[in-house]
Amino acid sequence: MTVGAKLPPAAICIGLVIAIALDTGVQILWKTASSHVDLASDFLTAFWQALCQPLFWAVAVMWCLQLFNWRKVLEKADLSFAQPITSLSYISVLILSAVLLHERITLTQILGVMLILTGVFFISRTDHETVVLSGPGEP
Amino acid sequence: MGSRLIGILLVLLATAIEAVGQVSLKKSAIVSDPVRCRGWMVIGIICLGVEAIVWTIVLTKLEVSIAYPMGSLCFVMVFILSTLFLKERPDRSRWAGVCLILSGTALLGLNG
Repeated sequence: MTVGAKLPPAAICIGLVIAIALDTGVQILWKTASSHVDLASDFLTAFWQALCQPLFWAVAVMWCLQLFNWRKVLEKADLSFAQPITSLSYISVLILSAVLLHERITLTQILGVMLILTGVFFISRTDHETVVLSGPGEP
Repeated sequence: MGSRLIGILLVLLATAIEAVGQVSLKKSAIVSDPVRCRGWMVIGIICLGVEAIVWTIVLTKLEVSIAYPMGSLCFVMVFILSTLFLKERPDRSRWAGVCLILSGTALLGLNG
């Protein structure tokens, strides 16, 4: 690596913050919604149950917003750079799942998430866009 | 097979599907031909749709505080796919990051 990694442009940063917020909201709502699905019934019945749940529709809307936002981010940044950054949402999901859904958080889990976030740090230290390699056969 | 183990296996399936979807969406953002752009986008959206169904089943079997961070395996799969198909060139730092993510995910899988 040279002197230091360039900071990504502001538009990419804003897009990534929106992505983290939406990711968190989607996961918490999705988990809540999934408790209304009965897997003991057949696939179509379960699918229909899901469609009748307003919570699933809320998840779908947020997910579409995320898709739109994500495409905007990807127009400007490498996938292997942008995607790991959004894993900061592991912290927010961990906290909100404990507070809102009363899930038990263990030390092993916190360690696991810390390792993942360290991994994220290592990945995000690199530049936001790499040089595209020349095609096969070219010097 | 325990419900937990099924959940963990489904997380693996979901992350693989998502990785293919993500790479397709990135492709759609960078190809200039409008027909191919739409094609990649459709593939990407179908993958994400199938993943949504798998993920709903995952969430009925696992806590979101376990399942969601385990979804970081997707980075590892995206890392491999974007190196192979998008010709992105990851350096040593990204490799180290991927290894750390793998260890963290393993800890989460062993938890409980």
